[in-house]
Amino acid sequence: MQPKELMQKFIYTLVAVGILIIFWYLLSRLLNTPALPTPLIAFKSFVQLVTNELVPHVLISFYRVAVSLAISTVLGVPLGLFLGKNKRADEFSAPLIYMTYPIPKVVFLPIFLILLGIGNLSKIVLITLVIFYLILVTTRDAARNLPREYVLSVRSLRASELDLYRHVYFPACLPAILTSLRLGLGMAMSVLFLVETYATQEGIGYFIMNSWSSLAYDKMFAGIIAMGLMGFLLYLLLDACEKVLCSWVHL
Amino acid sequence: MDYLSIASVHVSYVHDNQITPALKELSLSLSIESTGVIIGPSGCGKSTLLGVLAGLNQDYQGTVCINGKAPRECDETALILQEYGLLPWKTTWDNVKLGLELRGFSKQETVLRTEKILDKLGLLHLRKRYPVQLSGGQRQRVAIARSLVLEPELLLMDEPFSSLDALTREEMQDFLIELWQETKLTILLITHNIEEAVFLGQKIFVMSECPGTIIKEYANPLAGDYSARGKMEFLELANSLRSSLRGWN
Repeated sequence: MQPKELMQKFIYTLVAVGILIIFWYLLSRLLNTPALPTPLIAFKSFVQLVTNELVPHVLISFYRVAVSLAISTVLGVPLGLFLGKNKRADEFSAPLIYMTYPIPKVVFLPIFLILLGIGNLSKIVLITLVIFYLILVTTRDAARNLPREYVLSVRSLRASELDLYRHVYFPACLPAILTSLRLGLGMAMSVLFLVETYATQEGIGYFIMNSWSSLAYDKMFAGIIAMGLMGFLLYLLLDACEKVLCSWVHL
Repeated sequence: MDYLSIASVHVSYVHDNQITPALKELSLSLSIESTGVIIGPSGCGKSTLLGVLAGLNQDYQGTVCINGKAPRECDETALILQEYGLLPWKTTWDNVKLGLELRGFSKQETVLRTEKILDKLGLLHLRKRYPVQLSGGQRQRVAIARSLVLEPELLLMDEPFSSLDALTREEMQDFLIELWQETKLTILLITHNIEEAVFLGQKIFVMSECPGTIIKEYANPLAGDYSARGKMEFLELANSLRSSLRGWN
């Protein structure tokens, strides 16, 4: 990216943050309740906490989201490509997917807690399950709608099935996969919050709920800021991946 | 002996439990180092035929022989499609070398042959561009390069120039003739365009409506003659083609 472009992006981000803070400030003044402190108080508390108390919570939450995203990608993408390419397997599996997809996976939290314990595993499995479906369905649909001409022309060069996945299906579906990852990230963050409020004393979700129950609203908002920043950084990371891997889309 | 011979080929599609015939009793032959053009109404099964010849569809009855071999066993066939043939996520260079890569050529050989063919077709300066950054004519040249890099004997083309504007189209027709004179490939091309058929095909096959079969065959001595485009014989043959197409429309 050009330095000028980068600068422009930076300015846009600053403006967005500014607008967000102004709205927040106005709202907190309007409501005038301790439950919504002004941005100044929240940021003060954030700066105080960010170097000590917040760090381990943010790290563990980051770990949970990143691992879940990675596992669901590794499982969802190949399966989605396979189903999108093989009509018969797709027809066979579609009812199964559509029957289990709409069930809110968080209802399984108690079962996972019993089966997998209260450690990281149960949380990662639940978040993975939620994002896995999203990636699977998006990838499958992208592979299904691939123009036949691409497949035909490459097949006529005597490509094997594996070659087709490598040279046609995967690169063609990559933009859709990255979009599903971006959507999945938002879902992962909300599921993360939920799983971290049960039977755990670690993670940013726990930190926020704990601050709330001790009526430390400034700490609570410091936690929310940390969560927002974490999501923002992950989005930037995904954007960077897209720029590098799918440069052909932006021509 | 003919390089390409097709005898009473039948192809059917099963769609919604109904059998729809696509090709019926289709026979044609083409001798080595010659050009043939198939012309016919839309949906008459022309593309189905090329699919069979390229070895993509093995579900047919009848005999198809390319240089004495079945299509699937024949590695010397190249297929060029109207659009979408090039992969938009690969640069010109990567698109052209794909065939070599798939057939397990060494890295050195791949680079050497890719460079040679791009240079020959005047595409070397475009090697880092993606297909969307190329004009229609350039794109079709790259598609041709991708096929020629494998040094095929038979070139199958499915309406290769139909999305090009009139002038680019004529340029590409000239280019194809030059290429044919130089490489002595056997070329079988499908088109909708009557003038294109007369300019390119030493043999012209007229196909019927679906289920497709060859209803008329012309031997055409004018093919490949640059000066022929305005001549009386050229127009006469075009008219004759037009009426035999009309007769079945």
